[in-house]
Amino acid sequence: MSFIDTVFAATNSLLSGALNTILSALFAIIIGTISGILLGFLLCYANRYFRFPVRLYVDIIRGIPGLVTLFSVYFFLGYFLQGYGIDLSPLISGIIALSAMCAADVAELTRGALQSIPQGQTEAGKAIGLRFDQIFFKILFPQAAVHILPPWVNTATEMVKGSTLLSLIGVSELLLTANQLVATNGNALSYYSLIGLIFFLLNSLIQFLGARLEKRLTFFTRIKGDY
Amino acid sequence: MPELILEIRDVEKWYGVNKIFEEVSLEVNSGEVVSIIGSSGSGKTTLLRCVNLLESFQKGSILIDGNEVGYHTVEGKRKRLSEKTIAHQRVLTGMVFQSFNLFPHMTALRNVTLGLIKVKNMNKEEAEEIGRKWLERVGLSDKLASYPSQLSGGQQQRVAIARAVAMNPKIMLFDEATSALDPELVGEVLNVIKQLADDGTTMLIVTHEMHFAFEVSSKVVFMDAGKISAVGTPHEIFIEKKSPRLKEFLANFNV
Ligand SMILES: Nc1ncnc2c1ncn2[C@@H]1O[C@H](COP(=O)(O)OP(=O)(O)OP(=O)(O)O)[C@@H](O)[C@H]1O
Ligand SMILES: [Mg+2]
Repeated sequence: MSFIDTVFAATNSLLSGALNTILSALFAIIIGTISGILLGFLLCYANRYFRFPVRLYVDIIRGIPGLVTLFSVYFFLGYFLQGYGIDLSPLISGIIALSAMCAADVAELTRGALQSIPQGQTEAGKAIGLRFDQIFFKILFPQAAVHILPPWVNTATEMVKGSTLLSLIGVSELLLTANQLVATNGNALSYYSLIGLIFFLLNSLIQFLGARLEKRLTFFTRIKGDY
Repeated sequence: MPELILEIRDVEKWYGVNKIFEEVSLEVNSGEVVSIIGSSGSGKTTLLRCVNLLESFQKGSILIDGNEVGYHTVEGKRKRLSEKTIAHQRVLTGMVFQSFNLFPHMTALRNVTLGLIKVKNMNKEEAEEIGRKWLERVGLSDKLASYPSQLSGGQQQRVAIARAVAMNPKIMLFDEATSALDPELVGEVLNVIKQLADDGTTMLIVTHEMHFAFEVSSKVVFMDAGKISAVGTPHEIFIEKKSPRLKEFLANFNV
């Protein structure tokens, strides 16, 4: 069989591999972004008793290899939950671990972005009588989002790439699928090139969407002149 | 009988172990324009920020329209009010900052209507009508849809003035509203402030523009060494220059 024929023969497993890659990255990005923004908010505004554990979490997750986080979730959290009769599947473990990594990164991005907004913005909001929640949602976050977006696109692509780690706990995502195809058919270069191309296309899509969103968010920083 | 709008009673302010000022008392009546002058670091900005409740203060009280703001006394103890209550009280004052502080992601009109909609609970149409009216009053009817980055400093500061005054405060507070501007843009902003003064707006103005203070003020306050060191009519302060410290200070401004 030629390479093309084996690819067609393996269409189903490749598709389900791609689906697992996309699912794990997508859920990790969504869950990680939402919780990361929340954690970043706490890093900025919570009192130190809330801030300290969040700081600890963010520093630990960012300071250890993703594989260690993944194994910790899969083996330790999985073992712990088994005591309560909950079975943690490899895919769910993987999504939890990736989300945890994404959240830590996004928390740090959010904190940095919020802190880079001049104090005068908050004060101007206060001066017209806005409450803190109104100031946050109407004034601070929209401006912070502009700073968060470019590095966030980077974090999102890291999650897509990082999802290959899940192959090591037996999730049949793209890399594990390719490994299996290579094991039966050989032709390593072709298979790995093929999944490499798929990863490249996925991340190109993220970058394309990110660039479009950035254009929409930053309209007010781009217009200059016209006095 | 003039109506008392702002009453500062014996206020004392500390930053940690540093006393910024003490025994500061000041009254501003309805329609009055009171200017605060004084050397850098004498506490002028800090005093305005206390009135606007952006700063806490350790002693004394501030009354706006007869009601104490910022603090209340429970069981003999002085306590700062909740942030929510303070947010309501801030509507009584309109603040214009040295650095404009416009919201960069909003058009000029939206900068003005945000507070009207969110704080005064107006609907969009009402708010925009008021917003347009005030932007027109400050000479920016052709800039409603412009973003701050498209406006000159003088135009930005005029939007900031419109934003504050549109909330219909009891008193307007100006903190060196023209200090961040190129010299050729100072005039247009001072003219707007002067126009507000002529319309009977009650104002407390911190300024280094001595000629302007002389022209518009009903009363001038000289702050020095952590106290109010002189109060008087513009004539008493700028022409008679009663104290030696005042003379020394004004010598820097060749007035
Ligand atoms: N956040 C702060 N923490 C500690 N000290 C402060 C703070 N803000 C101001 N000060 C001090 O308080 C004093 C008064 O400052 P303030 O800004 O009120 O002076 P000012 O009269 O407005 O001066 P300028 O004419 O330069 O604007 C200064 O000595 C300043 O160093
Ligand atoms: Mg000042």
